Amino acid sequence: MPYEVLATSRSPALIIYLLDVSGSMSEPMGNKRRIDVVMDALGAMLRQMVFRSTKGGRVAPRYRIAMYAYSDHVYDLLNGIRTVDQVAQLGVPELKPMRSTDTARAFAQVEKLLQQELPALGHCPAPLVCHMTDGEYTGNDPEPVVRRIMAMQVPDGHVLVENIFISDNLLAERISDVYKWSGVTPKTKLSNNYAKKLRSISSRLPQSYRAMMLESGYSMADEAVMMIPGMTPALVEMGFVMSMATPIGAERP
Amino acid sequence: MTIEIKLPQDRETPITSRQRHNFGYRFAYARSADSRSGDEIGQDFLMVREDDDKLVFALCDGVSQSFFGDLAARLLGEALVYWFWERIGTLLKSSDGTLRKVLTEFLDSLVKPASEQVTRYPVSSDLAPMVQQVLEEKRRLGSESTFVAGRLDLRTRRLYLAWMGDSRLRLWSEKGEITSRLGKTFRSEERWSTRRGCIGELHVSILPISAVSYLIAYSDGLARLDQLMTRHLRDESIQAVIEFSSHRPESDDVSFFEFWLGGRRPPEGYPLPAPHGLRLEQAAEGLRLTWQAVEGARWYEVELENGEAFYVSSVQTSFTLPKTSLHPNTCRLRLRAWSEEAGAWSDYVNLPPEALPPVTPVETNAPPPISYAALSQTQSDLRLPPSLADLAAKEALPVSPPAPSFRWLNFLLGGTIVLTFLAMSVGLFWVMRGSPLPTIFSLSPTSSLTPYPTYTPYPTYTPYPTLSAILAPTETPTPTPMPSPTPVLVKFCVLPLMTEVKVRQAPEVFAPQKESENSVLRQNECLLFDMYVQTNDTQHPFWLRLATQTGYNELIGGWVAADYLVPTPTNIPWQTLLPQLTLTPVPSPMSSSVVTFTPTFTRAPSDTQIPATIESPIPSTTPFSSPTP
Repeated sequence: MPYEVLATSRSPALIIYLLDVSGSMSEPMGNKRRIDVVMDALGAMLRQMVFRSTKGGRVAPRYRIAMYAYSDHVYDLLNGIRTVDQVAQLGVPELKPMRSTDTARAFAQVEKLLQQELPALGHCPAPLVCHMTDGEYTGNDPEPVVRRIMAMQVPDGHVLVENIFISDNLLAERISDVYKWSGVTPKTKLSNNYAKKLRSISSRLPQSYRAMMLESGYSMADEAVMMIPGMTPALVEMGFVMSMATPIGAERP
Repeated sequence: MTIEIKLPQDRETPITSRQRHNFGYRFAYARSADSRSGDEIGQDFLMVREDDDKLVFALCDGVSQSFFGDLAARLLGEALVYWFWERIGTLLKSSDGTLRKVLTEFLDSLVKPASEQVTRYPVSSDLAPMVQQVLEEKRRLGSESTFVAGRLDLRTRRLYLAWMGDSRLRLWSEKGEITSRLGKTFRSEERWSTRRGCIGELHVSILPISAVSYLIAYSDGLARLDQLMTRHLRDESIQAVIEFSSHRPESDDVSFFEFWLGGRRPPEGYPLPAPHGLRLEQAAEGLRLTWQAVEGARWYEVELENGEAFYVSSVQTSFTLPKTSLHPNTCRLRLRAWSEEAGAWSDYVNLPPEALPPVTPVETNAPPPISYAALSQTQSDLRLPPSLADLAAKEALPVSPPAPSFRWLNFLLGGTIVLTFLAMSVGLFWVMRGSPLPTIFSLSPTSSLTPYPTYTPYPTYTPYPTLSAILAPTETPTPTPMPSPTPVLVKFCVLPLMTEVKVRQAPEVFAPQKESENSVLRQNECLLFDMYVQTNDTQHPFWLRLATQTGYNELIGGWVAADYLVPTPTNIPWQTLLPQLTLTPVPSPMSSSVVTFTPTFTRAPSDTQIPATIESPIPSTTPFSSPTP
């Protein structure tokens, strides 16, 4: 059964965050800048990750995290892959808006990292790439490289790609309660062509992830894909929660 | 003899069994790989207490996502054993519904003292701020645990069971497994919380022991047994499953408990022979192990030298080692076949050195091997928090984190063992025919009676620290002199409709009043009470004993009919909180018109001369008008 391997200290889940820090990220979202909303959501996600990894007073290293920010260059925010207990020590890195949005270059960096890592992940959950952006790419089309990434696999399943697209009006309907929203499905009407492209390069939400989302109080549909329209801070946070929905060992008693 | 076994949470306890005259039992404990590698305590808790005619157990699985789940598991486990041992009292002949109601009330009443312990539990200031924030958030949510607990009672010939959550509880009769009689009631979302009490429904069952041959309970860390085990297995097989589970990536804490009825174990199977023809060869995908099939095998287990183990379906007779499992210092492996029972191991096969990679990109070291404490070890290194059975205490004691061992405890324990041995020797000498001791020390049956019994609330309960948290349990005769914890006190007020209520020397309406000129309680007067007793009097079944309190020295120890009092606050579950004195009829050497009662409570060390008996009136079937208490 794909995507059923538990994230444990001995089989940690690799999650790669790819964060767009282009100039548009300084635009407002509610009463904050988009980039501040993303940092808040990252902090909440990290706390949740620590919550799920803490047994007694110890943080079990059941997640391994890489975090890249990209604009016209790619920046390694954690200086390599760090375990969740190490990231908890470091805290959330500070993000600053920069210039353009070279998405393809950023995914190429992810591809390179995965090529290095994959041979050692045979017993681990399938890695996940969580991409957060707020606008169309300015360099090459990222789709080819993303498709190559999605074709990579370990015994647990293909590499998962999630997209969080921060935009004000992606959906025809407003989402009043994120916990009752069923997510983006292949049939969901999207008002933006780039959003449609991002949906096409988003993985289908695995059942095990969906179960974890349901346990967290969300209502993701069976056919939901791993794409979140980041129209509100709550949705952005939901996107990051989805990124860490790998089944974990000892979740229950 | 009362035996108490509280398995230490900071180490592994291999499968260990005890056979008594009428029943036997066995238990085991192992921490998860993570806990072992971090040398941290496990979050399961297992406790057993037994004497000649009853066996009480509690197996609790702390919720790792909650605040220090081991804390809830320990508090709850101790409280459950206490309840099933001391407090079940008059419920022994009750129905499921009554048992469920009273035990639910008891578990909910633990919330306050347990929450206080959670509040006081220290979190290291050395942790990263984010981790501290998370732990404080968990502290607000409380500590949680699932449990299965029960009492095997040979006197009533009934088995009393209670459970919440997905810890396993399985039953067998002579004809096979009868677990289905418990229904689909093992729900992972149900548990006990220090903040919320019972989350979900408490499940109980009362069964005649004639229906049961043996019972097996285990935490979900042994989920492998769900499919594997259809009957009682050999010790070696249970231990093998524990060790196999502990080397899996998803390894969780493990606790196991089983009891059987009768003077010997249930029938056991035989192990399969060791596999033969093992060969290792280098294949494109890695090192490939092949062997000859073993008849009767359900699956095979491949174990590397460092303890890492792999499951291989019985339809296969080959296995390719994952490259990530090859380490420079892991030089050999072995194989065995499983039916239900673990088979014999093959000889070790050496791995070719050229197949072992020097490094791996991801650190996936196998967990440290399970290391068991020597059976002769007789103390726990843990300094455990105070028991919830001390819930009576108005102020919960501070909780300490696990502390290093204290060598002086060895001497203390050694002294205890020596004293116990001496006491047993004296006891034996006492009962020997012709011994002068009974004559020398015998008391007149009538000369030493005092007006009321001075029993302590928790005579046989070991509060904290528990020296019996050991692999080789200390056998101590009951009564056991223990430090007496702070007693439970509940305030009651005289009902407004009563002008006054008499304070009696004994818990019945014919008993004389306390030897005081004014041994009455006035209308609306409020005092503290520390114990209650249920009598045969249908008009005044419950009596409460006045606790020590200033201004009422002459009334202390006196008894008042409970139906003339109201607790404050009125909804306080006083029958759950207060210890109950149980009176058991015994043949009287006196006149046949007098029934003598012996309290089953054990006396505590006291300067007061404690009577062995109290007198009670003849049970009468003749209706009579009750005098004003």
